[in-house]
Amino acid sequence: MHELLKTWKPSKAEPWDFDSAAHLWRRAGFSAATEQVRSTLQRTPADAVRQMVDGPGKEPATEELEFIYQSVLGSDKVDDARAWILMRMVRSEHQLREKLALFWHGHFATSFAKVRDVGWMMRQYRLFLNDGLGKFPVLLDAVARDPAMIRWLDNETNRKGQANENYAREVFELFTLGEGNYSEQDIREAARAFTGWHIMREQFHFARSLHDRGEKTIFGQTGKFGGEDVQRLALEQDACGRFLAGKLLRFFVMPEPDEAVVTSLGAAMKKNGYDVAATMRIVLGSRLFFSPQARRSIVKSPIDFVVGSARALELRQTNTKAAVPTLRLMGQDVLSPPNVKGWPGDRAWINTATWLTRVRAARAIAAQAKQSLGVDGSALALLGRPLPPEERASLQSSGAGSAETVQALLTLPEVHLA
Amino acid sequence: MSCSEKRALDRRSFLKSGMAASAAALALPALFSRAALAAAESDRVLVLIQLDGGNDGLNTVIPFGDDLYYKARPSLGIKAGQLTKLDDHIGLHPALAPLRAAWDDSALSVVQGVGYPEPNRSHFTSTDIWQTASTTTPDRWSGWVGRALDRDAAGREVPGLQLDGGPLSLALVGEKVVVPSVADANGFRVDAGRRDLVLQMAKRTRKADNAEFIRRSAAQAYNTSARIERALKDSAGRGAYPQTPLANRLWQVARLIEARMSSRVYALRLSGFDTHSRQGEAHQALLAELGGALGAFHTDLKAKGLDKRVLCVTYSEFGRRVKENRSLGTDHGAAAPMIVMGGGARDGIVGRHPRLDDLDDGDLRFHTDFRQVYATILDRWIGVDSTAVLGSKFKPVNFIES
Repeated sequence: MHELLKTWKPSKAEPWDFDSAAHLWRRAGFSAATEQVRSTLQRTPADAVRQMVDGPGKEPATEELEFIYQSVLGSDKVDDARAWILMRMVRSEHQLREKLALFWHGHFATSFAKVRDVGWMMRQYRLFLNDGLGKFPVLLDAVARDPAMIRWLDNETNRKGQANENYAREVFELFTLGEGNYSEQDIREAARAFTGWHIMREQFHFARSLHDRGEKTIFGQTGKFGGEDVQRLALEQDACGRFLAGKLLRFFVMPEPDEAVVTSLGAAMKKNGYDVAATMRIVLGSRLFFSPQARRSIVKSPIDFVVGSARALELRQTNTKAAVPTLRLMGQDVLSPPNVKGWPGDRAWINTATWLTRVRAARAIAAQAKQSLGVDGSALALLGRPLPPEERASLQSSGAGSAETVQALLTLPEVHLA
Repeated sequence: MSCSEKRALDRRSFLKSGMAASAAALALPALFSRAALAAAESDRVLVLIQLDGGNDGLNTVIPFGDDLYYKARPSLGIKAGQLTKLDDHIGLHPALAPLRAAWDDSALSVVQGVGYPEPNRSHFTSTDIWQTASTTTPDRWSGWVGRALDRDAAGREVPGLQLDGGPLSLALVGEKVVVPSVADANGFRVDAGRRDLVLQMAKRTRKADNAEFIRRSAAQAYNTSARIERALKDSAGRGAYPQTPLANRLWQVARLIEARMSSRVYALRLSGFDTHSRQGEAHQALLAELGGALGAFHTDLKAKGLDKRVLCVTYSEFGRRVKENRSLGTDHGAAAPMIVMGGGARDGIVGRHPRLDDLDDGDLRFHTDFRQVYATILDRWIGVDSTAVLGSKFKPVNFIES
């Protein structure tokens, strides 16, 4: 294992302090209230990471969230489904589960724009919630049989003699290997292996008569392969570990991780059978994760900004439905990623239009913020560390009211870094 | 009123808005130098329209004189009588009839057979290739327009503008410039409330890559907002454009050019060209949106005497296969034509139509590299050395007057 992936041991120079714990909450979840960050600080770092990965066990909000899920499932109101996802992010105690669900949604990016069925989209998202911390091969197979995905990538029309390559191409290019690690021939053959993976009565259905049972050659191996074999063959490639490791590191640690670290984590993933929980224990507990280079290195996604600010400022009753159109203007409309590649993230989040929307959202968030936190309390909760003296002075001399001060805080560039 | 008087007036009314004043005082004082305030009258503008999804070039610029076309397209082929004919062999799709006026004004070019070696059929990869102008570099993160603006637009208030509601196109990503992207220039308002405080906070950032990036982006956002709001106050001439999103955006572009906004490049996107099934109607509607918008834009600019300053160019990540598929659609292909409109365009058809009897694995063969087209735009229109932007020398194509 690469040096930087070894378990971080706090030191005098790099102590396990409030900033470290707040960093963990920003990345493994959507931030946390100051009190919760302090209680994390009572544990050892390793213990804190373990709890992030395993979850708290009992979820007080489960029943209500489940009730909402069931009632939106049969409706045609996709914004209600989006509000359900956001409410989970605000309320759920097992924050990493929510964060990883969003990661997998971006990875297997499927859009309501084409699927046009709220229930299908919600069921797919639920798959990411349920299996997102499990073994990746299980998730990959579940996604291949997911009706929303089958419709999204046209596998309904993939049949013997008239193969549609769309799904097979994305399995290699976007789900497992990345560009450059397969040939056009591999795609053509893999598409044949997925023929007949269709939908019937809103469920996965293997249409035996439409499946091409002939021999296929993929990555130099020949056999009467089916879709399961394509997945197995892809997972056997070294490129698969590297590809997934790179994506996880860019999402959870830093925008440009070192190639050697990516390769090392990729090898570890392949070895542990692509166990996501085990991988997240390595990533979140690593020296790299807690290094100064990693902290505040990634531009917050709109959801990180909105949900994270709501949690940090303890706005537990946030109207998540009202946040949906705002997030859309900021470029992150959950259940409608921009294309099959998902959201590019980091700097791509910020441009003139999205920034102005963030400023407007800051005003709305500030209006609901608890007055009792004060300037220093709000700054600590939002930044993970006290406000630098220069900025503190400028805020106080401005003579602005409390809400305006919080709004100004929320437009600090540093608040937009995760 | 002379130009300098008008400019002085612009400057006064600009300064009157509280936002501009605070922006000037706190964020970007350099903007108020004259050169940065407005475009010079000689400045040429590029309007780049991305046909997203892979436009079927063969059903856009149609070789009606070739029987092989009708053989390959038994259902989707369009009869010669319906086309806007450009010569004895080539005609435009009927939905592009509004381009006739530009053609008659000698302000329309069709550059045929554009592509690149070993075409990639992934939407994303091929779009990246077109937008970065690189078929090989693994580390593709800046775009050809962004790199050109890096060399041209230093100090410009708004170096370029994306106006299409989508995420920022990779084409516009530079190493220095930040090109803003807005969905609709009218929704570009930020509540004035505590803008000065917000700006002041945004200004103070300790040096850190992404923090500095956000600070710059924020300062630019506040500034652009004020400028665009002013340019679009008056909705004159809107009625002459069709009621489509693309036409609305081109109307906005015309107003911003008229207001002498400093942008050299406007990027727009029309999506939906991935016509794998039942292509006929969908493609007709897309080309009608394109043709109608471009036609109105040409008429508008000509009436305002701005047509000689503006060049419009369309591009798409790839064309489609020559043979239609069994779903009455077409699959991902290779070479395709580019449509060029404006005062700089030489009228005419540039290059021959790719042969239909000599295909590359079922696709049209390209004879003009898309980077030759870029090099021509960079050297002859924008006035930035194409070799520096593209990394090597590409032979120009004669679709712009030298």
